[in-house]
Amino acid sequence: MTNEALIGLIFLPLLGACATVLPGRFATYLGILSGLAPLPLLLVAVTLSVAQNGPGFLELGGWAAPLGIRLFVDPLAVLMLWMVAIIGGLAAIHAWCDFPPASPSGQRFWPLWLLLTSAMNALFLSADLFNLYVCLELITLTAIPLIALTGSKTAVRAAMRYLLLALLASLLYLLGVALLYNATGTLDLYLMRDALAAAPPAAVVATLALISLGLLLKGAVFPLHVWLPKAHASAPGPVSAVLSALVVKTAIYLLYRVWLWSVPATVAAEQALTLLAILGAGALLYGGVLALLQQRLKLVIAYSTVAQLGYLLLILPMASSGAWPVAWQGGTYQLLSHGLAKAAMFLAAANILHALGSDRLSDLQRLDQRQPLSLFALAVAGVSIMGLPPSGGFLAKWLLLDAAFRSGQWWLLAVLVAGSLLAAAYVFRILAASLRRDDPTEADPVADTKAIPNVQTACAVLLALLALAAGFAAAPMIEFIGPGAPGAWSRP
Amino acid sequence: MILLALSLPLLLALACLLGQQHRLRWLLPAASLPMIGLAVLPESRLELDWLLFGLEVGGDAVSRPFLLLLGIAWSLAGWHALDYIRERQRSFCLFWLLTLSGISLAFLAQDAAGFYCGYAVMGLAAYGLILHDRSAAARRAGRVYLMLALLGEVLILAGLFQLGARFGNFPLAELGTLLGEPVGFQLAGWCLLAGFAVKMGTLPLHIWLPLAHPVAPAPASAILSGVIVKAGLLGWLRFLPPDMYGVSPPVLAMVMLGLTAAFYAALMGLTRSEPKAILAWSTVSQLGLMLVLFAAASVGDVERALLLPIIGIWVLHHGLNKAALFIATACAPTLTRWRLLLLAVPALSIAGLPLSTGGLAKTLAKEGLTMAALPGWAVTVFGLSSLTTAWLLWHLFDRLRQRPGDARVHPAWLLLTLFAMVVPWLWATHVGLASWPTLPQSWDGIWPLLFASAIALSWQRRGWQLPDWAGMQAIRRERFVKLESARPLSLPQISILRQYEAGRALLRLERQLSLVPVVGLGLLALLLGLGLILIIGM
Amino acid sequence: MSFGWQALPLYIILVSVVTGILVFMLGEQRQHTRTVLNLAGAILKLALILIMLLAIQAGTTFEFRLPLLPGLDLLLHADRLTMLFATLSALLWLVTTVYAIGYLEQSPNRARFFGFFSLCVAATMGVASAGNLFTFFIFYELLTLATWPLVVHRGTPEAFAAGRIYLAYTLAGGILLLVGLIWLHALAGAGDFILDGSLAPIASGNENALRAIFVLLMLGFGVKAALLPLHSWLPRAMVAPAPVSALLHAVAVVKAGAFGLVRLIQDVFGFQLAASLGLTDLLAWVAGVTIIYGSVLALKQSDLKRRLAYSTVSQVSYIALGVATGGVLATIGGLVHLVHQGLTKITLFFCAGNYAEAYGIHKVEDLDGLGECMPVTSVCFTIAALGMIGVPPMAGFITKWHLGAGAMAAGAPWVILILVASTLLNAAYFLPLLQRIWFRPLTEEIARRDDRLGRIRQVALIAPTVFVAVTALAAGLLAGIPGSPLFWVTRMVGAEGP
Repeated sequence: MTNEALIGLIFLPLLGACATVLPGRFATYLGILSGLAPLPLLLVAVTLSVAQNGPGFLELGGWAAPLGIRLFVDPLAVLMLWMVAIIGGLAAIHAWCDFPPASPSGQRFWPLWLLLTSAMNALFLSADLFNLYVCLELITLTAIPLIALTGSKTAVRAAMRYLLLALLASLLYLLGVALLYNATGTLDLYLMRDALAAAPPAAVVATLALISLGLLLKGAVFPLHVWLPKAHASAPGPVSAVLSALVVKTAIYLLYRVWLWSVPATVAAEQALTLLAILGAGALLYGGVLALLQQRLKLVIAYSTVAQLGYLLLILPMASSGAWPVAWQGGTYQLLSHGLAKAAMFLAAANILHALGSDRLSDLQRLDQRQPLSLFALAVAGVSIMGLPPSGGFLAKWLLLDAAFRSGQWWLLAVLVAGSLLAAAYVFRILAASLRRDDPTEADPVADTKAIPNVQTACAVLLALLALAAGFAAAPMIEFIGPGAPGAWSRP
Repeated sequence: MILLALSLPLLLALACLLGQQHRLRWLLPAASLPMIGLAVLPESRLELDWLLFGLEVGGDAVSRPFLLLLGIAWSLAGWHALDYIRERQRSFCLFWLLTLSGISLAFLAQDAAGFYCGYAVMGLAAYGLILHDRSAAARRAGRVYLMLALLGEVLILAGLFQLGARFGNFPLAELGTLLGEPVGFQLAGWCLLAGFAVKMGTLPLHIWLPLAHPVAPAPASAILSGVIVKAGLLGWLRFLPPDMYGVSPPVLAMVMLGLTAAFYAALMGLTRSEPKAILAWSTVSQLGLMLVLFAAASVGDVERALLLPIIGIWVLHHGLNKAALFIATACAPTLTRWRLLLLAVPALSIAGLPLSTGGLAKTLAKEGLTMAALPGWAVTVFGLSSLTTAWLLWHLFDRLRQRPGDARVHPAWLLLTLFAMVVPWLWATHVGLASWPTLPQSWDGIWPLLFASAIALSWQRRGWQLPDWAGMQAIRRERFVKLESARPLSLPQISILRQYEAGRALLRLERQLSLVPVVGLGLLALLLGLGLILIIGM
Repeated sequence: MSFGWQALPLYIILVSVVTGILVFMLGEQRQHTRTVLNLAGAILKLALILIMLLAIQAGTTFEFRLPLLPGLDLLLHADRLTMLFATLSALLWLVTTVYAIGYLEQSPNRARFFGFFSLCVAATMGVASAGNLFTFFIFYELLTLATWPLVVHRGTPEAFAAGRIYLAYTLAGGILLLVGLIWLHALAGAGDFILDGSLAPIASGNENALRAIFVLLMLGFGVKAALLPLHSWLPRAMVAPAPVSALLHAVAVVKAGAFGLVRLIQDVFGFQLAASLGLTDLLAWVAGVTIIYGSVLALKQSDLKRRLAYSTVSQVSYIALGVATGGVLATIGGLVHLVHQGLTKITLFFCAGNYAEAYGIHKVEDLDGLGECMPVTSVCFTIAALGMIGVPPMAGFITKWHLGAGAMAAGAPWVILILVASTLLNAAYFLPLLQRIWFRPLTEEIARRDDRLGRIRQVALIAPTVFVAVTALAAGLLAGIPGSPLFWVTRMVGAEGP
């Protein structure tokens, strides 16, 4: 049952994508529905199985590793899959209004969307570095046309920049994988640890450096984030949401897998993780400040993504400390709550952009009357981004701070604090801009506002409420996530 | 009865507040009448648990003369005020009644918090009376009064805190017993002494009196000078038992201060031309004498018991006579024969004419002081104060005579003068101290009057006048008291975006970073960095 | 986690939350429904609190526990301190709602205003009924979020500037609080509020850590309680409409900070431990300096509301001072001031709002002679101002008496100097106002202006003002009767020990 479910998670969207390109309206609808709708059901089965039996492998076609293709599912993967299902699903509903399946734009949009979903699901389940390369490449190559879908000049330029850098990243990654295969003869993530320990050091260093660098570039980690803001800001709303909430996280997810599951716990590795955390700290501060300096709503949110990704790297140097379980809980919870909140913000921003025709902060005034529900979504998601209670972001930040304290990493504490203050500053900057009223005599503020379909508003609000609800449902989820990578790093 | 005495002024004040003063004005004199009953009727107590920390109210031996004075003087002054106050009746009635309720509570309270409560209400409400005519002079006088009154009140409060820490809200009558081993309360004693001294117009704290009286309406001045200042004396008697918290009280210093005040104030009064200012200085002078009495009563328990009734007679005598004189300033611009008599009786009484209440009070006081073992010179000087007092009152008489105008004789004046002649005598009989003056005593009383008259008349014939510098002095002092304004500290504002230059620089940096070659360089640098770290680590 | 009768504190919070959400959903136009809803919410909440009060008297304990993180619960409970604060805030919320309905009669964005107004009170309720520091922090931050839209309600550049400062201070304070909280959590686990000494067992060896934690928490609470030098957001926040100022000063924000300080001393550290670490002295000194500094600055303000704001800076520190001084009497003084200051200050702000609404008066100089045209408001103002000064028999006197006597009893005579100086300064900045109102002639310019209050607004604005003024007066005058704030606080302190 579980095996079928796992395969279904990857192949149903893929088949759906194939169906949508067939001629005829019916095939398109069928493709979309069959590609996306069953995912949550399948996930329920997978979740139950993982909760009962723990992490497990699935050999496709019955060939054992290292020859065959293996799928691996553990709580982290389940969490990511759920995020794809929920955020992707709600974003898809949002997109339904802007890209109706029967329309020409819909014809271009939906195959790409389903392919992206399939690729992400495959990435979270793959256990093999080469398969992962394929997934990464597929994600990039579907994401880029999605960004450029509107055809505007800025969007195409941003997409091209993304393409250039993402291909560079893929090459670096592929180079690393090739070196690795040469040195160890295996590409399986979960078999590699012993092989790496035995491999020649020079090869290991080059491998890890190249793979990590590729992932850092894909994950838009400071200072390699430069492609992200423009790309995310100029993409259509639901695409921005998925890009920020999920796509960049795939790279971070892989970083976790590589460093925490595959690399032997050595002093060198620990120092490298500290370097990664320093990059994360840089991202947190730099992204925060730049978000403060932006003039457009979607750019603020995009830079906020740059900043928030920093949190995910900050937990790495605690891998060998006694505070690791707490740090791991904090990191994964941040993955989740940031995904929900950021998607909500981008969807709300898309609504606002549609309604007002502009997302410049100076044009946002009186948003509370013109787009009250979108502003509500923006504000509630913003609370989570700031890490203020009650929200998932708060619990994540609490856990991170707690871990930093327990491990005695004081600089992490300072960075976390500074990061959340910056986040508060840029979120409240948005809120202040939208409550402003420069001209009190202006008669009817609603007059020049376009109506937004209720469904689109509902999607944004629902995601924001989920981010809020994450502030109350943490206990069972954290229990499910467990302590992270098994027994690799010494944890007194 | 007690409840009536306390609630009547408050209820009337409430009625005033609601704008009913026209209908209920006639009750104004009646508001303080129950006090007379409390002073005369047998002692009774009332506990009001629900008020503040639980109040206990009722008259006792110490407060009876005060209550009697309050009842008589306040009622008659109120009657006079009914006709005298033409403008802002509502405001006057309100503050009049509030002051009355305050002082009633202060006089009746048997516990510390209750006393302080009444005292403070009285002190603040009296401000409204002083400010009645709203002129600039009144405002200045009011400000000085208020500053000093507040200073006094916080000093009292500071003293009460120290007592309250040990005894809670203690019954006043038991303070002496409670103190028992009075260790560590010296400071409280000094605070209380100084605090009540403000109301008593003790020498350096007297400046409000000569400022406030001339600007307040006559009935208000009458009760200010006649009754309200006595609340300070009652405070002393209540809170300062003879040993004063374990310090042997500086009796001699207090005596000297009192005597200085008696003469200094009288001389200062001579420099003023406004009749009410003259009377105010006279009050300061007389209060100096009462300070001497209190100092003598602080020597020990025996002396306290001995002097207490004498102080009571003084309170009655001075309060009634002074109130009568103040009313006189409003009723006697032209001095016909009857008016002259009505003016002369209280004036001579204050100057200590034998057979008058003043003569009685002074004789008793001198006896008491001698028995309290005060040095002989002090008693003599105490007696000599009649001289300056008499001179001052001559001055008043002269000033009143020169004032033009026309005013009706108010029956309240008549009655007040009558009561001033009789009541202290009756009280003295009641406490068993009334006695006819002997011949030497009479002579002691008369010669300063004659001597003063001689000086005053000759002075007057030559047309001499002392310069009026008291007012200026007070203004200077007030300037000194006025709080120097402080500059507000400004803390740095927190705003990142204010640093626009830095912001622009960052945006430039971001544009540079976005260039593909720069990204490439960054990649290389990171690659090297990561590699190096791993290699070094191995 | 049980959602039964025991979870009443949760439902009390939810009443306000639901009111707020419904108000948001109603939209701007449905004014009458909104008014009814607001009042119904406020009354229902007050009723629930009274029921809870009776139930607690009868011995019921209320507790709602929801695990949020492993080992960390959202815990709502109701102890006596909770009830003190909760009753105060529920009562004043009702009154302020009535006032705000009248005050904002014609102004825009009322739905937004009342929505956040309700959320703000929900957060205050949460602060009151928080059963551990973690829960406290959650609601404390929620309060920041809910009040910010109220502060910037007018939407003017000044309002946003004030809002920015407000956020800068409160969020930074929140972070300090969070760091302190996490440190404490790492050191001692997530303790519930237990009186006197859940920390005592781990104290030895960790003295300096505990000191640092205390200072962090104190700073965190101190921002909202406007302790020096963290107070400067408060006067700026005066750009908000009068009901907001009233709420900020009397019930919600400032009080939450002060309440936090009380919890910190009484329930987290316990007075004994805090005193043995020298921490109470620190807090007492800071509070003392704040009292004086706030008063001195109040003297300098010519804007009426700013003067009142600095007065709040000064007055709220009485609470901290009382609790930090320790001993039965001073603790009573501090806690009872929680109520007294609330009643008195809200009266003052209502009056200031009335002056501003009726005659457009914002400056102290313009108050001349207003006693004639607005006698009722002016009498209320007078009562409250005298109460602030501490003139007996007003409520402020009850506080000062206990603080002063308590300080002597606790061996801190310097507190008396602070009280004396503050009384004088209070008088120096309040009495000139009273003098202007009552004893100066009306300026011609003001006399020419028309009273802008309509008939209905007059009732809606003046009735709450009179109500709070009378309550403030009664709190002092009738302090001796059962049911007065003093009575409650005395029982509370008496029952649980200082």
